[in-house]
Amino acid sequence: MIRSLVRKELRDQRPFLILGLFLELLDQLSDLVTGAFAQQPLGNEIGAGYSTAGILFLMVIAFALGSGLLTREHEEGTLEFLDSLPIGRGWLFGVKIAVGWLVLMAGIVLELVALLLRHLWFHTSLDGQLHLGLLITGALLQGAVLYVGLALGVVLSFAGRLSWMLAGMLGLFVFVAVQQIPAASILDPTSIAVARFQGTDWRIPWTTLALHLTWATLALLLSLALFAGVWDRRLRKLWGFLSGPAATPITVATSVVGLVLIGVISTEVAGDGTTAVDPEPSFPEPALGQFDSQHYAFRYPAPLSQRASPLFEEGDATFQRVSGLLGVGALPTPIRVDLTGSAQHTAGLAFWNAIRMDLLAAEDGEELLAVLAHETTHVLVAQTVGAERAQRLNQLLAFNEGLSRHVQRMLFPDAPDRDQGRTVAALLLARRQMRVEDIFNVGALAADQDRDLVYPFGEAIVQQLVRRHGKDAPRKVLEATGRKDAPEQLDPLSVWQDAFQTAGYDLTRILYDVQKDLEREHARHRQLHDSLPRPKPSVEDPSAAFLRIVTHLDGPLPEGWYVACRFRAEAGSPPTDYEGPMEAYDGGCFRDRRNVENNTLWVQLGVVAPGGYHVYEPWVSIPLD
Amino acid sequence: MTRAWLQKELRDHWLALIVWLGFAAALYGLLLFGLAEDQARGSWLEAPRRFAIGWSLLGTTYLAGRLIRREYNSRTQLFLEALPVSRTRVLTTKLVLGAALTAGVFAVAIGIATAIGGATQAHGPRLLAFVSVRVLSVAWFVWALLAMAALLGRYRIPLLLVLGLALMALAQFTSLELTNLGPARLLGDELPYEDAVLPWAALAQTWAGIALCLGVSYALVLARDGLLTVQLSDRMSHREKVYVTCVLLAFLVGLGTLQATQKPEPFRLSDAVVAGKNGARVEVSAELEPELAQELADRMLRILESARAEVGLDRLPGLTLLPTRELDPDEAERAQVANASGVVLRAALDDPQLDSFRLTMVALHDVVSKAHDDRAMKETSHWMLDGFAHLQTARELQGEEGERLLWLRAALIPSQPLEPFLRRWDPAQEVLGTCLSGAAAASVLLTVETLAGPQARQRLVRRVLDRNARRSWLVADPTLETLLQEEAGLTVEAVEQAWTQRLEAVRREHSTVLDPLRAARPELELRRLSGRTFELRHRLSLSPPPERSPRYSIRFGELGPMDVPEDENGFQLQQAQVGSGAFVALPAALVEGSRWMWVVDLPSPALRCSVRVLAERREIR
Repeated sequence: MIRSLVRKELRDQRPFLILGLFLELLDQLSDLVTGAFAQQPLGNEIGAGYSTAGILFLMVIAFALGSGLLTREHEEGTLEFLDSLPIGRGWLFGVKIAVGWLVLMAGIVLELVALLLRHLWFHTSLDGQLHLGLLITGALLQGAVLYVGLALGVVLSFAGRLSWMLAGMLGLFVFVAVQQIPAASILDPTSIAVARFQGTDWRIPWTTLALHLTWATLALLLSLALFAGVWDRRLRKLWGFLSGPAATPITVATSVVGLVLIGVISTEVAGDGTTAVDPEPSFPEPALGQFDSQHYAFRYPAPLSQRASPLFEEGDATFQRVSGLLGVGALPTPIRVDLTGSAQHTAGLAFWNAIRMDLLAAEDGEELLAVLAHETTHVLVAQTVGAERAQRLNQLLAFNEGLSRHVQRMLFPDAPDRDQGRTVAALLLARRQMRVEDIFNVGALAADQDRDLVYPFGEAIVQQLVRRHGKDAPRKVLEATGRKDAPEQLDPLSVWQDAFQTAGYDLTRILYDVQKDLEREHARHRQLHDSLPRPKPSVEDPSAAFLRIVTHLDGPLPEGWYVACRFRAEAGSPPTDYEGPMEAYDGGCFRDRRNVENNTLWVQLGVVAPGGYHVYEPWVSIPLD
Repeated sequence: MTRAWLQKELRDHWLALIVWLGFAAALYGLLLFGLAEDQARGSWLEAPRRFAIGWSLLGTTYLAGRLIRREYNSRTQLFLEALPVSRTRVLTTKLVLGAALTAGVFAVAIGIATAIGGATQAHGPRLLAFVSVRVLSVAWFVWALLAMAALLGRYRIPLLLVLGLALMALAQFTSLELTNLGPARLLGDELPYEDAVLPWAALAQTWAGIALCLGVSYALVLARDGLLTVQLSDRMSHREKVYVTCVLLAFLVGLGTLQATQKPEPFRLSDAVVAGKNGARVEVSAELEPELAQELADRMLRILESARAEVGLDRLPGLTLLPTRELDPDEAERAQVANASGVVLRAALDDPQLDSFRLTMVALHDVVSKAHDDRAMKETSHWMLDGFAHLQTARELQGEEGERLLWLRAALIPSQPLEPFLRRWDPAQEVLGTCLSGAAAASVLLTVETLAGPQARQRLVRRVLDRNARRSWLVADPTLETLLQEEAGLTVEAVEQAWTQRLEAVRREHSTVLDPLRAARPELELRRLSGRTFELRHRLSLSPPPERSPRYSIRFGELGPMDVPEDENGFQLQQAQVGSGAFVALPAALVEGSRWMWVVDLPSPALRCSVRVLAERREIR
């Protein structure tokens, strides 16, 4: 009797057998045509075959088979016929499940045999073994996934037409849970068979396997109870309820929840929203290189080893020269230098004990070393001040940057100096558009002028400090800044005064020296300064959707200079909210009228020196109504 | 009777139709609002165009379900059968009602857009007529299609899916552009502006589609006295669901397979300097200086053309060169290009220090390999590909000096039997590195040339890289003995003897260069860090110690359970000073049981490349 039942079930499940055979045949045929047969050794193929997508496909097929295993007999009215046979529903159930699982496993075994045959024929001399243990482990784990999918299909089939929707919801729920909480990956049954290796061993996720096999078995037992008619009357009532009055509300509610979950997923999976241009060549991510010297631990893109080599060869010597200039000793641990890139518009960045640099930003090895010296100075400055007082360096930004520039210039006098910071600083002082003291408050400076002016002004301060008090003076200022009993909650100017006074220096005298020094610089460049035009703005058509701000110049611009505009929403807008600066195009800049608040356009024009420093005119507010 | 019939339909569906109209109004309102916000809009008639795209699908699907499918699904049409009204009239009434409702909604939509835009935009009667004809044609086409689908009952969704997939496949496998066909063309971007020419062909296609759908609909209703539609409206049995799913899956997988076997179009840059001749073509990105790009393209074309003639290939796949600053000048990187054929490489093309040998060798290697779908990458043929690429490049770029350099590099490899060395090429490449293995393979070709002449060497190259590579993957390659015998009339022993003698001679002649490199002693030791983790420490010494200590590189990566050729460029890299005495720790914790591979390379200025000092795969124990 059992044999007849098995034959009947095999006949019923024939479509799945045919489907499995067809898909396998197609797969092998496709590989044969494309040559993937020989190009994918077993080692490459095993990873692809046991991917999440592949396992999910198996699970869906198993669910499809399971969802029709019992209900079909109901639907087609054959259950009454089977009941008339001298065999209990328990046996019926057992035979159905066993045959269903074996039918599903047939595809897995077929794939296994194909893999082995291909490997026997195409293996290279690197790997002639059959790896039977690994392959059988993989097949058994896939069998476990099929068992779970089958059990899910069988138990949900009692929900009738809602079964697929419930399965989809469950899948979505697990997906979102895994996205949000990595530890929830234990709930994902596909992770049972995803290939994970340690050496030559397959790392079997025993906990996940046990969890899913347990609930799948419980689900099958529950299904058996339902199928055997233990709760027949209640089941019929539930069935009637689910497929009758409850069907529409459940569908609507589930769809809403599903949409919300999909929304959650799509916002997290969407990324930057860019789509690839097709066809677009893609190059492999560069491997990471490492070189450890006495004072630095360099990490860099391996294909740029040659470019980074001046740092490896001269890095330690540079460190010693920097520390010698500053009068500070070696650090307890090497500075970590990440050479994979820096922030936008910067050649390097320094943190407490780490540096980031852009290898591509420098023209040659000399410039790279100059940037390393600059950033090393920042690290040594922070270490001299100490961790507890390091925050005060934010208020001494100009000093910090100025000292780094000073050290860089002392060590690499021949390194290219492409900016005209000193000239711009001298010009702004001469025009009375700035005072030297303005650089103490960086926020206010950025609101009216170029924030980067802290570099030339800071460098001028350090130069005058060293000239007047000797090369140890900067270190003394730093030590004074870092002293434990330094007063707190000071405004920027007071921080400067406190540090200089404690070190025994007169800040006012230094600032006076800077003023005089930059006046001399102005005298040297008077012709250029006098020839620079002062741009003025006007709005061409105040009613236009895109406002064109015409830049009026009272003279021609010297070569290499250009006009730039920047905008703010209102007088008190923080500099971080400013739009621009943007280069004026064809004598004008543009602004979307929708970004203009209270019908008043706030615009600031400036001329930009070849090195990138901006010389801004005062802000102008233009009423548009 | 027809009026009564219409009244019956309206009585049945009046509430649903009001809701339907409400949704249409809401959607159109949203579209108009969005358009009002869009400062860059060109015409208000864009609104009915967008509405036609959305509503003709959404609204019509609902309408078809309500007016037609519901009637058959709930079996109420059986009552209609009892009335003295023909089936044709029943269907006609429903179709006309649906068409009228659809047309009404779109007519109002066009009217509203015209009224709003009328103040600022001139919408002439000709333009309005064109827009109406195009929008209504599309709406009626979708209505006819979905009405027909509704009559197919349980097979409507599979049918629509197959139709969609078939169209996609058609677009994929032919040059057919779907957006230029029928309804899609009618709703093209230019719809709100075009008042000169009506797209007659697209209109004809759309109306042919309408006629076809209507024809099928009437056939379905009239077939077997209307029984077919009734039978189709039954719910799908489990067996049917399985079969339909299988057919759809098979269709999808079949399409995927077909797509995989299609030869993609050659990769083309939109802005490039191009050089082409006979069967070879080289593109160099226009980002490079025009003179430099032209010079590079011409030089590369000359070398490729010469290689093509040498191997006897009909044509070569295209080569594209892209400049980059992200690579050192001695690197050349291959790109993966989806949906396109050809070889794409990037290198520091504008760097005066560019390693032309490496770039040319990689280009030649890949282009010749791709000529026959990488069949030359089979282990039995790969040595020939490597040897040919190295030899051809050396001759083209360096002449006799290049050949001398190849022998010098080859002389660094240990003496060994020739046949297993070439047969087991994957491990040989790994142990020797690209520079030495390529030179070794090239030196074998040079030996054949010395013994049997250039023609014999050429026949050998052509046999492996062209004739053998044309055959199926399944055909086993001939042995080295057979190849040498048939193409050069030589035995393996003769070639091996001459090869070994020449290598010995080079070793004696250049012992001052080679001996220090052969004496490089890498030392590696595994040290347990904790219960299950280890660290690898390494150092390298040279004898005698060099005056200026160079840096050596160690590349390392974790391996899978099986051994496949590894791309060492994807491994992590650590550099350390030669002969520093102290061990350097690898920046990786090695877990017990895991498998790792590391290779140690030492740069050699005399050999102008990095020399592989050690390659090892090891399971951590």
